[in-house]
Formats: sequence, C-alpha cells, structure tokens
Amino acid sequence: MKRLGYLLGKDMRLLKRTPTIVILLALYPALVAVLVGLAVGRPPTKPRVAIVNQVPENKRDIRIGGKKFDLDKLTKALYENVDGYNVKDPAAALEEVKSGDAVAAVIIPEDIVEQLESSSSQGTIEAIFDSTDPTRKAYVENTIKGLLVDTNNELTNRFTDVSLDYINIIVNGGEITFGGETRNIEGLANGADLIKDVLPYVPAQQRKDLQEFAALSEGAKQGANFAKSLLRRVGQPIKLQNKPVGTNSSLSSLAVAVAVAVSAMFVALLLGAGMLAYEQEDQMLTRLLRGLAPRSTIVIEKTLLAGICALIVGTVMVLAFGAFVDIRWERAFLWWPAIIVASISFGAAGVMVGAASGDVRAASLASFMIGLPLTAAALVPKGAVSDGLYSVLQVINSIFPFKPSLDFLRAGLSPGFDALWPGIHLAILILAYCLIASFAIKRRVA
Amino acid sequence: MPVLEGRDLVKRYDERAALDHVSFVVEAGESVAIAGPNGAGKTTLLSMLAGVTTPDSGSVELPGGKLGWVPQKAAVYQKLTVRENLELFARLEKVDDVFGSATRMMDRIELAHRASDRAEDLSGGMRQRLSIGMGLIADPAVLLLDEPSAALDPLQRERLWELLGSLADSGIGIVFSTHSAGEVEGHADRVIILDGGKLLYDGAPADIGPGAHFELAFINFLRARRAHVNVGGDAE
Repeated sequence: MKRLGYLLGKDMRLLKRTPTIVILLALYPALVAVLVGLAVGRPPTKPRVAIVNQVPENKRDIRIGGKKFDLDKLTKALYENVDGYNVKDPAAALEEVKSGDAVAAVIIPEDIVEQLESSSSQGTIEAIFDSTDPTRKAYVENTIKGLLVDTNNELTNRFTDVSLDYINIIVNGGEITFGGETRNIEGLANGADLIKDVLPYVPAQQRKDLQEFAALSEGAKQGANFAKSLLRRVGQPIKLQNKPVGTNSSLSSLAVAVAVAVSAMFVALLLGAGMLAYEQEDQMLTRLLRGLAPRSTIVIEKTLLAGICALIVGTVMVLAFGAFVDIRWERAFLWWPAIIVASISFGAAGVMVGAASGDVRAASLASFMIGLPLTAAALVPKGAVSDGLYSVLQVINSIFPFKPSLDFLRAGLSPGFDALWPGIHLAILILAYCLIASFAIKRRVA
Repeated sequence: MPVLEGRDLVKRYDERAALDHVSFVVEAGESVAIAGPNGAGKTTLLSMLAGVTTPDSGSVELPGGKLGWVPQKAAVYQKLTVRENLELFARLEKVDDVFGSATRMMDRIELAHRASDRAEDLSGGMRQRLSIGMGLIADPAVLLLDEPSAALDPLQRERLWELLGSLADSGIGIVFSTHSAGEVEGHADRVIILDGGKLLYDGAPADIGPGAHFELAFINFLRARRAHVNVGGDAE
C-alpha cells in the first residue's frame, strides 16, 4: 500500500511538471462545459428568413365566396415561425441568402391574391436557399416546410368556412352571389317540403318523377349535412395525442451526463494509457517489476491516477454546469459516486490500452481510435439503425465503459433510472480491464 | 564468497530455447561479463537474474544479499530531479534512511552538485550514473547491468568503468552484458559466453583460446564451437 502511495505521488509530480498536459486537462473540460452549457441553457434561436411581399398594400384583400380576408393576417404566421424580416425585392433577398445573413428568402408574388381567389389554381410562393451544404439544405427545407404549415392551416380554415356557408345555403336556403348577381334560393330542406305540398296537384303520370326528385332532394340534404361535418375535419383529419412512456428525463440532464462522460473518458483513457506506456518507454517498468512493485500494484496505481484526474475533471464540470442548467444537488449522493466509478473504469480501460501498446504515441493514438467511435456507438438510439447492427452495437457497448457510465450518470442526475446494474456492470469491467492489463504487462516483459 | 548463483536456468519462447540449462556463480568483488552474438540470450539471462522474468526451470540464489538492476537504457524518471529519483527508489527498496542514502549515493556517483537538476537536463553519462545509483541505493551485494556503456561517448564510458571498478573493489559483484570485446578484455575478471541460449564458455577472457587479441580469439572460439554444435544465430 505504501509503495502504491509512493508511485502515485511520483506520477502526480510528473504530471505537475508537464504543464502542457495539465493545461489541456483543465482547459478541455472547461471548454466542453461552457459549450454544452450554452447549448442546453438557452432556447434555440429562430432562423432568419428574408421576406419579399410583392403585393401592393392596397391590394391585399382576398375575396372568396363573398368573404374578405386580409393577406397580411394570413402571412403573419410566416413571420412568427421564423425570424422573418422584409426586404425590398428578389435581388436583395438573393443577396441576403448568398451572404448568409438569412438561411432562406421567401417571395410572395404580386398575383398571389388572384391565385388564391381563383377556383382553379393553387397559390404559389417562391423560396430561395443555398443548397451547397447538404446538411444546411436539409435544415432550411424543413424550416420552409414548417413555416408554411400554419399559413396553410389558416387558409384551409377560411376556405372551409366559405364552403360550409355554401353548403348551408344549399341545404337551408338563403342569398347567394354568383356572377355578380345576388339571388335568393330555397334550399334542399325547403324544396322537399314544397314538392310534398304540390304533389297532390300534379298529374299521376308526372307524380312518380316528382316523387323521385323529392327523394333525391332528401338524399342530397342528408349528404350535405354529412359534408358539413366532413369539411370541419378536413383541416386536421388526424389529431395527435401524445402518451410518453418511461422516465421523463430533461434534455439538460442528458447533455450534462454526456459531456461529463465524454470528458472523463478522454482524460482517464489518455492518462491511463499514456502513463503506463511512459513507464514502459523508459524501461522503468522492468526496474519496478523486479520486486519493487508487483504488476497488480502498478495497474491499480495507474488506474487510480487516471481515475482521480478524471474525477476532478468530472466534478468540476458538474459544478460548472450548475451555472447554466438545473443540477439536482440533493442527488449528489448518487451522481458523484457515478463519476467516481465511471472515471475509474475509463482509467482501467486506458491502463489496459497502455499495457498493450508499449509506447506513449501508440497508446495515445489507440485511446483516441477506441474512444471516439465507441462513444458514438453508445449514443445511437434504438431504431436509428437496423436491428442486426443495433445488436452488434449493444455487444460493443457492453464491453466498453462509456454506455454504462452514461447510464449511471443519468441515474444520478435524474430520478427514475436504474443505477444498480450500470454500477455492477462498471465494477465487472474494471476488474476485467485490470486483469487483462496485468496479463499484457507480463507478456511484454517476459 | 558467492553473491549470485544461477542454477540450471531454462527459458523457452514457444519452441525456441532462449536459455538452455545455464549455470554459473558470481563471487563478491568479481566483475563478470556476459557476451555473445545478438539473440544469444544475454538480456534474457540478466532479466531472469534480476527477477523481472521467471525461469521455466532452475533457480537464482542470492547468498550475499540484495541485487541491484540497471536496465539497458538510462532508466530514470526524466521529470524528477537526481535526488527525487534516488529517494523514490530508496523508498521502494524500503531503505531506512532515505535522505541520507540518497545523499551518500549522489556523492558516490559524483552527482551531488546536480542534486536539484532534473534527469532530462543531465548528459547521457550522468543519466547512466544516476541509473546505476538507483540500482545501488539499497546497498546490493551484486549489481546487474544490461549493456551499460551502449549510448555513451568514450570519455563518459571511461568514467563509467572507473565507477564500476570502484564498486567491484568495494566488494560488490558486477555482472554486465556487452557487445564490446574491449570491455570484456579491459574490465571483466571472467566472461560468460552465450550462443543460442547455451553457455559455451565461463572463464578468464585471456584463456578463451588463440588470437592476437580478445576480439579475434572470441570470433575464433565461436566459429570453432559452431563448427561442432549447430546452435543457430549469427555472430556479429
């Protein structure tokens, strides 16, 4: 135990005398904490969209079925869904998109009112966006689709109201304007009664035809009533009712868990691998192994060294996150042990890599090559890939400590998650990594 | 008085015999060179004597007390000072007076004036002396050195052999591996010649056989033995 302390003290001193590593170890998590904190602590800003409204201000009334709508009220949703601002003409709009000041530009053509009033054509507005970057293109296309949803809904409601008015007049009667001429019509309901009244006075030969027409009117009346209820539903045929299952975890707690796990992983993995490889590189390992410190002591010492450094980094990160997001401080009894166990598990994984690598450069490279893809693998949600690939990822996630560490941290930061199994899982991994590292050292010096 | 005994040492890597039933004794104050071509088994033998690797069979005895080990490169912690390196190994060796032992050792290896300097700031020869000091910190009866002069210039090499000579004069058994026939001839009381893991010769360098000087005699000896026994490996 004393020898472990001497070696730990020596390594702490070595680290202290390697300012570049210490600065990186301090700066890296601080940078990650600030970036993630800013990302999760502030609501996302609306995308800027330049809007050209070419319709003259005195011609923005839309008349459909004798009703008048204000175009500006309809396009209000355009401005609300995004950070919309007016520009004077399409050339200026194009310039805004090219310069990157706007993610897109929307041009409302001069004849949009006529298009909407027409019973034979759809209204069309034009969108301009930069398609050079495929990721940005997809984002902008989704934004434009989204911003038209509310406007289209508003128009659908207005069209439905007009159609319902017409149907109402057809069924119940009333005044209708057609071709600039206003007429009063009886409606199907009154028409059927009228036919019944005149039926006894009609010659028997035509009575049958009139009876059929009366039946047809009755059918049309019922059909019109059904059409009314149908039209009411046209605007929103399917209504979504959300029923979430499972734990209700906040996005911020997930972001904190990911940031802490990623930072602790890289610090511990690189330190564990690098410090053990450093002992081998300078042949110090052979000096120590000749009875001064057994393999188990060296493996445990390096694991603890890497784990302690990662623990400091992880703890500082959670404290820093407290400035941006709500941290459940009363759950520190769980999230702090989670950081401890996760840090030690990453440290043990690093020591295993270092024992197998032999020199510092190979160990560092191997740590990155292992750490990066396995972190990404742990963050792939079920359903995002095929079942077969997901099963493979699950196996990989079970032999690398990132996923169980993430699960343990989430259990600490949010209630409702299981903490026991990730803890046991990590303990098993720590033991396995230490045994493999010890065996690798034996093979290397044999 | 024997300070180190290797008895019937065997080490195999798969089918290849790295050491094949090697036995020898080192007396107190004796300087023993281990020579042989590349792959002869020199480093394996020293690692085994040092306790870094374990033999498949046979045993290593230390009737004289502790053993000190100096690996091939100047194995020191570069970021630690001369004193810190010595004190760390004094602690690991469970030396009673850590500070005093380190101070005495710095005098012995002539590095007292660089006590507070980091090892990375020392010359190659100084680092090698520090590495020897770390091997000597627990007052061993025998000191093992794996090619101790390999990376040193002639002046540093001469200073190193002066130090090792003074250690042998003080009664410490010195065992070193080397590729240099000159070092065997000039600094060893005895030479153990290995080839293909087998011990071919154990005796005074001068008695190895005919030749105008040791290097020629050594080559003649190896050629003659290989003509009789197929041991494999290429002499350089």
